[in-house]
Amino acid sequence: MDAKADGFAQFVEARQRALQRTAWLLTGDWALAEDLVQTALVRSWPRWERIKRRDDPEIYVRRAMVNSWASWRRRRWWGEQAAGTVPDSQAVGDVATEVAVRITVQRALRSLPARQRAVLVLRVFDDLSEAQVAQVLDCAVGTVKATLAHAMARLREDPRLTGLMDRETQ
Amino acid sequence: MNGVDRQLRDLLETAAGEPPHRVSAEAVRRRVIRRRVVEFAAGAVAVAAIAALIPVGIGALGHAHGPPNSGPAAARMVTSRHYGYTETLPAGWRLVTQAKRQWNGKGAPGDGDNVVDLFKGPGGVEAWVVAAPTSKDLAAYATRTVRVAGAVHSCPKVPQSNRAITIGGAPARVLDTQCPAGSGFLVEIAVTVHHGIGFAIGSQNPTGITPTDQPADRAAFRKFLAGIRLQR
Repeated sequence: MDAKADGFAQFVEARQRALQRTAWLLTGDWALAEDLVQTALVRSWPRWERIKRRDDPEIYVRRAMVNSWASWRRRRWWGEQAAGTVPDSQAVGDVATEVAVRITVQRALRSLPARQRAVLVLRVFDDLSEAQVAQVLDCAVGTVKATLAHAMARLREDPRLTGLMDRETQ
Repeated sequence: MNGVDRQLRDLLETAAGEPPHRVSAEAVRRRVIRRRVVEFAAGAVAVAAIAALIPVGIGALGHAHGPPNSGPAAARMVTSRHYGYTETLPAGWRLVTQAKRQWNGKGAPGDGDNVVDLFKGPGGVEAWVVAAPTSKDLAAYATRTVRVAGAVHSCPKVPQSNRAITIGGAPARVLDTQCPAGSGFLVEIAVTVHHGIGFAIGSQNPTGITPTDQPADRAAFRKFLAGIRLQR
């Protein structure tokens, strides 16, 4: 295997899980998440040498991912659907709790505008710095800060989500 | 990160869970190939549709007889602004762009670089030409070209084939390779050295990548090379 293919394969191997999880938080669907990650990697592969020389591959791939996701949303070839009924939060057992968390979080994320969702996921979940998020989204750091503040304020108004957070602290 | 951020992060962590499938580099590579095939097919359909519509359009405009028959297409010659050669364009070939500036002899410029004269041929095949002074003979220049292409474009260290031809009457080599290695993307590089100037002429088909296209692409490139005349 040549150096480019080797480097790319190593990147995919090391980062595919994290990228898929981020993609799931954006799309709310594992099949779409996998498709989104593949799409971002397909876009990156032909330029891999250049990306490695001039850019941080992680940032580049995430940018490709967020841009693809935004363009999918514009095209609406997959329609976002509001989550159905949320399971009773008193459901017993770890699996039931996990499912409840998943649905509640996904519903809360879907209530956010796309930009806020992307900033929140990249900053809070992926732990990118504000400067890195700005790089991914091609905007100013100030915009990232403001967007994140709006997203957090909105999430704090979600009683189910705050209920889960309260339960975690107890 | 404050307490609320951390709590939220923990919830996101729990919610995201584990992906059910892995994404592999091999799957990505297969998808790149599929995408190029689809793009090629879409392009071919568009060309066919346009070709079918043109006579209809001409008829609608009251010019159903079409243009007068001009017989065999007149030969078109391109004189390179920077590189001291002319190209008599074979049928189906056209000049896309002349180099914006002269190549300094370093690296291995590709079809997207602004130091190349870029041509498009039948079926989407393309050829690009660069030249720069060299002190090397043909064999050494060919070796250098392969080595640099390997470093810059991830081509294999040894080409699939290395054959003797002539370009404008000068001895030349044509090297078949795949870039990146093992990708199935055929890249041909013809090299010659003429009066201390090394010429590198690359060809690939960015639209059609199936093996069945390769003989046609090779033949089109041979015709292109046959049209080159080296000046001085």
